[in-house]
Amino acid sequence: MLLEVQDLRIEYGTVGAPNHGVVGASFSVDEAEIVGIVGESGSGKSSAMLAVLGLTREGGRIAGGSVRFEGEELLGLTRDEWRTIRGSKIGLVTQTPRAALNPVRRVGAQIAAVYRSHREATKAEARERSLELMRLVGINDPERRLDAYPHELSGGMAQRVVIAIALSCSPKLLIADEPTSGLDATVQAQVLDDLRRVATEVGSSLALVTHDLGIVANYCDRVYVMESGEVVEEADVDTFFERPAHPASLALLSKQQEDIDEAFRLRGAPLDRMVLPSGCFLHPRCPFAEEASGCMTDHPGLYDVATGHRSRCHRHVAVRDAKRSDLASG
Amino acid sequence: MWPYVTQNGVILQAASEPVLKVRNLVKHFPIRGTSQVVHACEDVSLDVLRGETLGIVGESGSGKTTLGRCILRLIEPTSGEVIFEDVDVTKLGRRELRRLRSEIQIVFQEPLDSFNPQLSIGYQIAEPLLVHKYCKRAEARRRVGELLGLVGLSEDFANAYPSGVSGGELQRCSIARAIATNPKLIVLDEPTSALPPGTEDEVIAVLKDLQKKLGLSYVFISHDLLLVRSLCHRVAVMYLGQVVELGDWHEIFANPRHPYTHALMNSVLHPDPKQRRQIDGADTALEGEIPSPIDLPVACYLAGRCSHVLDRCRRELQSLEEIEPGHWVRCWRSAEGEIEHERPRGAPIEPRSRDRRRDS
Repeated sequence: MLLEVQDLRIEYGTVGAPNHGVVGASFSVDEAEIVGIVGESGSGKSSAMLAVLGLTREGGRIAGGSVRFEGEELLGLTRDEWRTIRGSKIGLVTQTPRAALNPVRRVGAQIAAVYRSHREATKAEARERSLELMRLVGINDPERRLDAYPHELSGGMAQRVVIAIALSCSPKLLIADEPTSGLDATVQAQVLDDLRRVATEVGSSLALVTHDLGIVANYCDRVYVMESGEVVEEADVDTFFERPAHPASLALLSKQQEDIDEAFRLRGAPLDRMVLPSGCFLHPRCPFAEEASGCMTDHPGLYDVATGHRSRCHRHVAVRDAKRSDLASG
Repeated sequence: MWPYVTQNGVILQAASEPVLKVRNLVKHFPIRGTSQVVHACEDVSLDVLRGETLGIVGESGSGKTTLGRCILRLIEPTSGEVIFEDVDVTKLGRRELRRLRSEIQIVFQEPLDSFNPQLSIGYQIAEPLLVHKYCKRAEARRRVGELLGLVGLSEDFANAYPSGVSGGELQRCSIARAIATNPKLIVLDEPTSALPPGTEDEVIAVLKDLQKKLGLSYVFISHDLLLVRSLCHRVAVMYLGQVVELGDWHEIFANPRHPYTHALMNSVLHPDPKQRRQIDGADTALEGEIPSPIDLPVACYLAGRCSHVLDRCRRELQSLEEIEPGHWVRCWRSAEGEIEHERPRGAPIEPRSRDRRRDS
């Protein structure tokens, strides 16, 4: 395993009464794999992936768990040790390229700066590397674009520059947090095609954080579903779309697939995680929740549904069959 | 049987009279200090039928928002006509225009920007009622409750403030405000794209429901093709200010004829692994990005990016031609049947199957 995250916990706010951003999330990414992390907004998917880089949003802290990368524990590294990981072994592509790039520096210089901070290289070599990277991520006429400022580039081009920066040191893992949500449909598909192509060429694994199941279906091998700060389902992509076994997955799918009944959607808004409810965190919103299965009292562990397919739901069999029977009758 | 008889992209006879007719609409934005202009809308002609949803799709910069605002004259068109129920909107004076605004309404993209944060939601929904003297102040309160009910919210929302409700709920409030004075036509300018993911379906459900109950006509501006597909009856595809294809939603999605529409349809990422995009790039037919709307290509606007381009495409300005009844395309090669497109992935097989299922 390239990346193995165990029981990760992230808290926000006061130490005594924290808001539980991530409550014991476990996931892994294999070599040369494209993994999708999905969930509704506020489910903790971005928080969990940022923590892999030792980062949290303002007011957050990593409260426990383990992040192992190439067999080495990352949590607890010093500032200087993190610098050898971030941008070098693990790259990050954020949602808004305009915020990620320095508006008053030429993009070529920005790519070169990251490269030179991790590798022994002369300025000329770094410039050569920038050109090569810009060509790699599908930027036309890179010689001219090298000296452009971010505002002179379109959104799609700017995001490609961010991808070029993230790939500059050929990282083993690339984390992309909603990489295309600000882009137009045609550009989105082009950027994702390029991202997948270069990840394959460079030999990087890709962790794609998204709420768009279209992206998952088209680009990912495996998928983790997050809900209320937990991983609630893991499956390969085909299984996830055909036989989801968690109500949160079914709810996500019902928004984009026509053949799932609206009765399977979750009720109300995501949980405020100041006080975690007893039992399953989802039970106040779940159409499948019932006393007899212990949904209100026992917090579910991850059940094995099939090989490589796990669900954190006492009623995973009923959930899986609900989608099927709906398909059969439709 | 096709319900429209058309000529030059314009409906001559239809099962229902068009509520809105846009004719040769042009909007140029001058660039200060130069003689150049941004060509936002170029010769747009289309009709909106009573009770119909017309989708306007295109990338950012294709002029779809400008078109929507010109319909209400929130932006003054450079030339052309906008005829709403036999009245040319572009020639109205201030007072008449004000009256018109109770008949045509708009819902903007970001509800937080279109509400005043310091006034209660109820007050802001009542405002159009009082401005247009639709009812007395005493009665307005009752009407606000009724309007909130129509968009599926409780009367309590009248006392709430915009910051106190969720994005989806606030957008439903802005729909309630838009329908307050019983308009006939509503321009919906990306009404769901600023909302948190997952809340768009509640807004779409409300829009569908209102159309059925009140017989509203919608102009639905969006770049989200899956959304357009679920809501619209007909679709106009815009590229660089021109309508490049216009027709029934099913024709546009299942049988797109313009190379741009075809590329657009193939860029849709379907949430279904069986309809994955091809990795070899066969699905990305367009090269490069949308050109600047300042220096437009002289002939076909797509010529620089199209894989079907011939010399004639670079010489001749293209006109919108009717290739099948009600299906219009601005591409001479498509019109003459020279281009055979493959069916886009995930194309709908049965017309309106989705709606039938939902209605039953």
